[in-house]
Amino acid sequence: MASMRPSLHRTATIVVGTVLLVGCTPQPATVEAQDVSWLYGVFMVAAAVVFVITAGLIGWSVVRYRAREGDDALPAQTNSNVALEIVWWLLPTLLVAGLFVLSAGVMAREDAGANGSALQIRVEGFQWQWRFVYADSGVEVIGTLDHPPEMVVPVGRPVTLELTSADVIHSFYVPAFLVKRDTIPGQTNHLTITVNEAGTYRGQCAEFCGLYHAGMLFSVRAVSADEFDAWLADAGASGP
Amino acid sequence: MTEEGRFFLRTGLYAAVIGVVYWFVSYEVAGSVLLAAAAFAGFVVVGVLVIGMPDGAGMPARPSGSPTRRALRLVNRLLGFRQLHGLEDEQPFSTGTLRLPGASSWPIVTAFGATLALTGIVYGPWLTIPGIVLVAVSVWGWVTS
Amino acid sequence: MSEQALPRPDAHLQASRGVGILKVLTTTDHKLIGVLYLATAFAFFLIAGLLSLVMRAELTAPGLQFLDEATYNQLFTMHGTGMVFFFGGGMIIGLSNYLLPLQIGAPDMAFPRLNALTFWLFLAGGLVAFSGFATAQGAAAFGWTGYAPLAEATRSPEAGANLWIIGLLLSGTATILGAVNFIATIYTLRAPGMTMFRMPILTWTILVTSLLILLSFPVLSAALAMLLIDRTAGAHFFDPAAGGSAILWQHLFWFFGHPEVYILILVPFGVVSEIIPVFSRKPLFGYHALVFATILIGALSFSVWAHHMFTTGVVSNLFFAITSMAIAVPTGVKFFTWIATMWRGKLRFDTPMLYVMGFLFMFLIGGITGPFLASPPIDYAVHDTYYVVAHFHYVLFGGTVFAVFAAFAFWLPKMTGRMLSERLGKVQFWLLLIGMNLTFFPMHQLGLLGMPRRIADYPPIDSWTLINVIVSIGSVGIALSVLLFAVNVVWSIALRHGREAGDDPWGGYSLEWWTTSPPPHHNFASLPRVRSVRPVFDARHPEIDPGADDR
Repeated sequence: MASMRPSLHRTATIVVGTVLLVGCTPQPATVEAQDVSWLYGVFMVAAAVVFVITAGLIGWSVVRYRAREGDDALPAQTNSNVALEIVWWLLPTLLVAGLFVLSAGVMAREDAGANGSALQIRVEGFQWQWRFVYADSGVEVIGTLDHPPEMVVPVGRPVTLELTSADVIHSFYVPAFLVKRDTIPGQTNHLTITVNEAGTYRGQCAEFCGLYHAGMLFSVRAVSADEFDAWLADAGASGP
Repeated sequence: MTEEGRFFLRTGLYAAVIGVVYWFVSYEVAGSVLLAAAAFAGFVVVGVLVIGMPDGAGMPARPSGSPTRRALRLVNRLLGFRQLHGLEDEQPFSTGTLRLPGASSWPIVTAFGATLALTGIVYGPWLTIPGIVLVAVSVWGWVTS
Repeated sequence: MSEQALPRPDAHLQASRGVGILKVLTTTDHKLIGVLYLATAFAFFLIAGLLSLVMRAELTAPGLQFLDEATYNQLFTMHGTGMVFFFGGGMIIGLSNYLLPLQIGAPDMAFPRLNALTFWLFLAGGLVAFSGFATAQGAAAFGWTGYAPLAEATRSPEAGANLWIIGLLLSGTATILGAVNFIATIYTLRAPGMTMFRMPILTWTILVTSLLILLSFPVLSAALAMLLIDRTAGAHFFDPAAGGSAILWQHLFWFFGHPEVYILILVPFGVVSEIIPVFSRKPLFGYHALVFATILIGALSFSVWAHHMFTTGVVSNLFFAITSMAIAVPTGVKFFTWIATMWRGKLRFDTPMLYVMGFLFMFLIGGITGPFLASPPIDYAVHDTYYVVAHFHYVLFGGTVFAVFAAFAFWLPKMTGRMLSERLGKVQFWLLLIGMNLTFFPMHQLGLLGMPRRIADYPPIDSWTLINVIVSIGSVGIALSVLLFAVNVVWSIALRHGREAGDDPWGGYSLEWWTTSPPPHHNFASLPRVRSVRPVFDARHPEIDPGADDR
């Protein structure tokens, strides 16, 4: 019969590999995403601790308390230990309470929105593409399945997206921003992001919306403030 | 209050409390109604059990003690997790012989009829009407057998 | 139709041999009905699993190789529907059906004919829902969650969608009636001396599961009925353009949907809680606390639903973050209880216990990613990506499926009178463990890298492609393992090569191990005295005082 003896070495490898595989959020490209990435790191540490302790205890039991061949005597039939039970109700409660408080803090900052100086862009999802309208200037960018739209934004300035949908529920998602928000017909959602690194970031609809959901792509290109003004003026003059 | 009743009382109370908290936190109608309905459902069962299942093992009346103690004892009696008395005596309902049906064809016929009736919503009343008739016949046969 | 009084202990009670088709169609015996449920659920496991293998084949490389979007969307919809409702639900109900009367010392369920009705409705529901594949426009294709407004008639006109709704209405009704039956049975048919706190832990999980079903499935049925009325009778419940609400569907669905996943895991917790003590040769540690934790999980499961809706912007993320984090506590406590049961025990690693070990490690991982998703900022990043797919497959596959295999290894000998092959069982276990981890662990990273779920195709991003290849290889491992299991069952049981089990091959604790394998008609010729949670153990070990168990 196969025996089951996880060695210490193997356990260590599993744990380190686990953390590496699960632990990597993409490089955060917005101010808000830095916060989220930090929070994820905290959660990962907590997760690793919980995993090592629990898996370690299970692994230890498996090795240490394996029945020996021919040993038929019953072990001590203990079934309770009140002090221990109190501890293992209390510690997890404290842990999740702490994780909740940290999450609430990050959420409050992320969902706070901007004070008046944000750039306003209206985002409308429709089957199966996107329409971006720059509120102040009226510049409009509409995508097609063959030509996904590009939203140009200035680096360092808060951008408030007003999100809605023309038909079914879609979701505006940019992986590098570590955020998404649903676009729902009949209501307007708001999402504020402040990109802090120039670059082009891919985006994709993240709420299943029908036949060509997989093709509902877009991108966000963050440029310097001057470049952005130039682009806006250009786009306003020549049309989408 | 038997353990059965306490089980549903705790459930109903939990849903009620969470429902109230939820309403004042979110003012969202759907969830609040659903929680209220869950609480109501729990309380209905408690009502049925209280009427239909009087205290089997019986908590001896204990009027002594301070008001706080008496209140705590009442709470324990209504919601408490473990019965403190009469564990040895508690008997489930079943005593004596139990009449069990043998094989029966009514269940599968009823299921078939219900399937026809509902599928007819897609394909037309020519499927629904026979389905309803079949269900009516088989339920009648079931109940009267 | 005949009526039989409960037989006297000296009555001749042999299990009947051979099963004619008429006997199957008219049975009201919970054991046969339970087996029918288990077999049907396993068939749906194979079908829905096959759908996922096709999906994995397509997703191995970017670009659409042999599927089109329309077909792919049907595949993931029916994979989810088949697995959640017809495999998961079917297995849970099948196990409960078979074991509950035996565990409480009853001759059958409280309502045997109702029991039969639930099976036939369940089967009909599955057939109707999947019959969409045979229609011209195909099966439902909007995900097992069926979000409106996508699921409305204008956006999803196919008849398969209506058939999906009707199938779920049929099987949902079956499930509700079944829950009524379980609760009535538990409350009225327990053996003398079996107080509520001497019921086996599996029975408690069946009770709480039934309560969850009773309170959540009607909500699903109502939502489905509303959707059906929208689709076929011109109503506008979920159509915002006509005054309805696009978000209402999500509230109704998830108010059902979250308790549903606990419906799928509580009985597996019960299975694990039954197997660990037997294979540790100790009593279950902290039985009362475990019962309390089960009830608490059940209650809390009704207050977390909108953690599926954090990105909608219309729910109180704070409220649901609190409740969702809170539910991790009683779940975690169960783990420590199980470890404490094994601690200082004498552990045997026959196949049932192997599967339970697999369950412990896999559900630990899945359970750990739960609080990640309960944190709204983290959820904003990973919601609707493969990260979520990884999480729920760890808890549902690593949890429910592993527990189901453990339950089969443990109780199939009781049901059939024959042991499964230990050697095949061990090989199959390791193959499943490796295959499962290869398939689902990399999905965490895939989600973090930004791959959304429910997409038929993805752009040629190297890291995505590499991970998808690994995942697809893992899925082959799972398929081979399931095949091995089928071989084991056929060889050991159908072909009778498994050794005879006898009444109690494992040294079990609860009443089902008192009777023959398989049990006779009406289950018991006699019953031992029930003075603790472990009546059979007490009867076999009179030197040990049962009072110590019964706090």
